[in-house]
Amino acid sequence: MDSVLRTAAVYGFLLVVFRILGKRSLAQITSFDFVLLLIVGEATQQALLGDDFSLTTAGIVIATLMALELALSLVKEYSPSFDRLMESTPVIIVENGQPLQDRLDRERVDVSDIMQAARERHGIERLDQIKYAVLERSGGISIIAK
Amino acid sequence: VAEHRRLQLDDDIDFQRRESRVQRIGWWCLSAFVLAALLGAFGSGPLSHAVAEASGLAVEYERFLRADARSLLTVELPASGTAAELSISRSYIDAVDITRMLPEPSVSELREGDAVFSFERRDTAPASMIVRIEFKPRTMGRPTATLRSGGATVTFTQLTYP
Repeated sequence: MDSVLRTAAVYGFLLVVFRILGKRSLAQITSFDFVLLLIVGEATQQALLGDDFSLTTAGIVIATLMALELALSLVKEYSPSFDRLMESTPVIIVENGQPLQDRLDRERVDVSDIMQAARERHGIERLDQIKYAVLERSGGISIIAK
Repeated sequence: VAEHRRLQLDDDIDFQRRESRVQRIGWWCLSAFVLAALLGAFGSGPLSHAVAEASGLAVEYERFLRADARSLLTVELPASGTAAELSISRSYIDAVDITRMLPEPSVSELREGDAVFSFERRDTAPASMIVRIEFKPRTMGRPTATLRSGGATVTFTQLTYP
């Protein structure tokens, strides 16, 4: 019983923290962000398992996490507003080559992030070649060229 | 605006503004949480350190504990001659696991439910002796400890986080 409650508490805490930090926090932008995620995982593992390293407990923790994921995805399917609450919405951040500054500020994205995505995926050289840039719910930036 | 209707996208600018406001409140909460942790609101820090004292018996303890995490009581006992005795209330013994005592008691026994520890010493000069008790709280809750020694009684309550 303890492991299920622990898992649910950790799941809820992580959900709230990452939701507070916004879309970009999980996007693994730099290698340091990736290292940070690994450390978060390491710290979480201790709280999930405590000093119980049995196969049973590992099974319970994994099953609980999967069940929570499943339950949440079912609720999201059923309720679009809950889905939005959990996962946010995509945001248009460039329109016809013009960056929408207030949205960039709100999402803590800058033009260099957009240009990085534009170069990497579309070989785009300048901002004015972009028709739309959208900050997706996953934290990635998708680019639609003119 | 008419232009970007061509992009099939579920964006909702009002929701985004509200979300951003809530996130900013969240950032403050997160900072407050870390600051509270620094100050010791979750154990080991100035907010957590406390001393309870009554006629020669003094206990240094942490106000805030975490389940299964080690903590320390430093007890100053009134001692006379070569022996000193410390009794710890049953409710506290039930709530925590004592993992180590320094010095080790020569006798430990249960007397009417309370745990009673007897200490011997060679140096009879100082009127008090210090005992360090390492323990781990078993579960979350508010354990209350009553310590008795040589007629003095000290009671304090701690808070154990999960």
